Amino acid sequence: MLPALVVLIVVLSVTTDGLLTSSNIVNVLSQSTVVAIAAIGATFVILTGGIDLSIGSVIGASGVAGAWLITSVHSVAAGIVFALLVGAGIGVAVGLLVAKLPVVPFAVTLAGLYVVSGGSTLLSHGRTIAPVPAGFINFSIDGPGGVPYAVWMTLGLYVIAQIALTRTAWGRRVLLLGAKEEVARINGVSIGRVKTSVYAVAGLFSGLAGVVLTSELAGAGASMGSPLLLNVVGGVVLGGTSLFGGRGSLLRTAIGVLFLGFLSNGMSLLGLASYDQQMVTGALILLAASADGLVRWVRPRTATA
Amino acid sequence: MTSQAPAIAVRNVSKSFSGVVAVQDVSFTVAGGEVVALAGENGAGKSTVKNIIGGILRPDAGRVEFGGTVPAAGTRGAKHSGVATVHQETSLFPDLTVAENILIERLRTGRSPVVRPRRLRRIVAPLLQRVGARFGPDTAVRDLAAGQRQLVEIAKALAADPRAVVFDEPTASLNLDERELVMQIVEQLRDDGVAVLYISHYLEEIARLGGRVVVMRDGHVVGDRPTGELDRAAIELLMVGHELAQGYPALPQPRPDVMLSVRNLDDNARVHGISFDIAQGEIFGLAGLMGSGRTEVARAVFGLGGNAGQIEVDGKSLRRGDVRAAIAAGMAFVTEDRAHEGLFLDRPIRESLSNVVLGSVSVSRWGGWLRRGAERRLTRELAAKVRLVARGGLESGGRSLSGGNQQKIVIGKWLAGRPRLIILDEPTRGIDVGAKAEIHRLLIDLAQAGSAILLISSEMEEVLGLSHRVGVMHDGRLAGVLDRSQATQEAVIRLATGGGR
Repeated sequence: MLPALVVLIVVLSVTTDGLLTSSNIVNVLSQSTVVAIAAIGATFVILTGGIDLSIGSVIGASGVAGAWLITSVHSVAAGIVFALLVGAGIGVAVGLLVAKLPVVPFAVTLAGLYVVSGGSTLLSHGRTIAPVPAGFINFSIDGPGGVPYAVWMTLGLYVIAQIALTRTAWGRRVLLLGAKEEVARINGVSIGRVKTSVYAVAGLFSGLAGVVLTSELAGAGASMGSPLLLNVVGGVVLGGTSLFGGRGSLLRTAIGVLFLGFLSNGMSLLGLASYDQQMVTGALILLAASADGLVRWVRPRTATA
Repeated sequence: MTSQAPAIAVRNVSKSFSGVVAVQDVSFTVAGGEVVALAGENGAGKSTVKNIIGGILRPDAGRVEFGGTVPAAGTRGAKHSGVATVHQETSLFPDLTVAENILIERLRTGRSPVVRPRRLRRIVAPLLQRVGARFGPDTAVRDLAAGQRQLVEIAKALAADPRAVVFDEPTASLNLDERELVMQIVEQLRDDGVAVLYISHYLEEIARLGGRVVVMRDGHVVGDRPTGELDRAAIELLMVGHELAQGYPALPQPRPDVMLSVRNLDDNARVHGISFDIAQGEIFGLAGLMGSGRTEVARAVFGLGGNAGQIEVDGKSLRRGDVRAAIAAGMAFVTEDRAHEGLFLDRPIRESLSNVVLGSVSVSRWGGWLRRGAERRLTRELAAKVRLVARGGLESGGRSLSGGNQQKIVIGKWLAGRPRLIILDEPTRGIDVGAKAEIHRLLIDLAQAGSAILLISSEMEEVLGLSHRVGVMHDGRLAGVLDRSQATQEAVIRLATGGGR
């Protein structure tokens, strides 16, 4: 996928003005932040061969929960912690259901999507919760070197998550469970515990994504995260993490998310109307994904590692 | 095309995978009406040759000719030339019927889009009769035992009325009767003028089928002679490159203390009221016909099914249905299904070896930071312990290994500590004589060190040669337990077929 991203950036930088100016790059990174954070959790889930469709609604629910506490007790810190707890709590619940019920993750998390979305709309009475303090909004606007704090944090989280995946026993178990669940079970991997943990992690990162989105929008509404689900899963899968599990990384996810980010930004710079943008996005996703497949097909077949 | 041209001619074929040479300048021929046996250890290059003949792989150099002509590339080229392959790992669709599987490539009649079941049955019935199948064309493949599936594979190959057939380990999952059947089918094909390439580890089969034997070692053909000129020892010498110790090693004396105690094991399905003990240092063989419940007993003991009954390990009662508790109690389980349950084919070999003991190479018992140096050292030790031959190193994928070396991983992953009880289900199925002898040696060493061993094998010789005592299963029950002195082939078969003692 990296070659596709490079080609995209080269083509866009020739055809548009100002794609590679520092202000525009910061722009792309900021616009990708929320999706990028949620995609960290989604990567771990997908590595086990699972899927989490509730990510968008958990972003909304935790954002609403955090904004509610921030506006009612005037403590940003308490609001953030609460949002993270709500996200992680929902994640643990979803994970336990996935681990214990003989139901595929697609169905469990689809149910989760509806319940969480309905519940958070009900509790927020369908209203947008605002205003939040200016300092909190600044988190996604200002930062060292003109790069928002939220972007720096996301970069750091990717480094930490990649290390967790490749350098800890937990990460190894996630990968091996996804590679072949039957082997992992016989080897004594606690299948239920690992599965629960990845959905909990997905919930936690969705909660954090909800906090950052609330900061970006200067308020929170229950439905604000719903449109992001496809971009989150799309970024992970475009990056080359296998939907069947056992193969992938955070680095790949970062590339996939950046591809979508630069694509959307470039088309705006080109002045494409939104329906045109959708069609071009679709075509380029197909092209990028198949280019990856073509490379693998052309190369001689080798033992995969 | 000339009539003298051999049905299959492999000419100077070479093939490498990512720089590792799999076969090098291999040449041999198979004429119509001739059986040529292809022998060699795992990893010698037999499967690569088979796949090149079948059009699944393209050779880097050299070519394959059928009846003097070079076929079109790909699997269709081989099929159009009348060359059929009977694969070892069954390539059947479990949810389709026997008839549908056999005719999978020509389900339709002419241009009609409709599949006519009656037509399928009419074509398939004589084929099933020819392979001696005792099941109907409408049986779902899912409901067939492994041996029966192999017969379907053979019928599928014969359906195309081939001029040449490649058999890849066709008897690896079969019992004695079924093996005899396959031998007869091969002989019939030969007498009908079909060219047969027969890949097998069973030297008895090779000797019986006659014709010629082509022996491969390390990707080269090291012998191509009439079977009559080579005895068993000579073939083994060619395969391995050095002399093998004959027969089975002497068994160490078991200790008096009981290591495993099983009482009234039951899974309400295939296994009923099983009770037995295994002492420290004892090898307990479990024999029985296919489907008699041997595998189910092994799985139930390890916690993979069947919760009724009591199990004690070294005097301590074991929580049932819990694999992690079984491992914590010192059990190890070597599955009969290594591709599906044994190792991670698409991950590095190192990860398959270290998974069981990941806690011991990370900073805390529950996980956390992996100490990669410790992991590498441990996996190198384990690989050495089982004499793993991984030409691509421990970072290459499990799929790159031969069956015998994959099996060494499935065993080796348990050997970081000394298991108190090691359960082995068909540990030497489909692997070559060299690897087999090494695995036998390893079992003896484990018993010597005090481990209890539960050994299941369809190979009577192996069970009798390695076991202190042999339990014989019949129809889900333990029909009897024979001491080493009583355990003869006849006695085991009598119990296994329900004949009593």
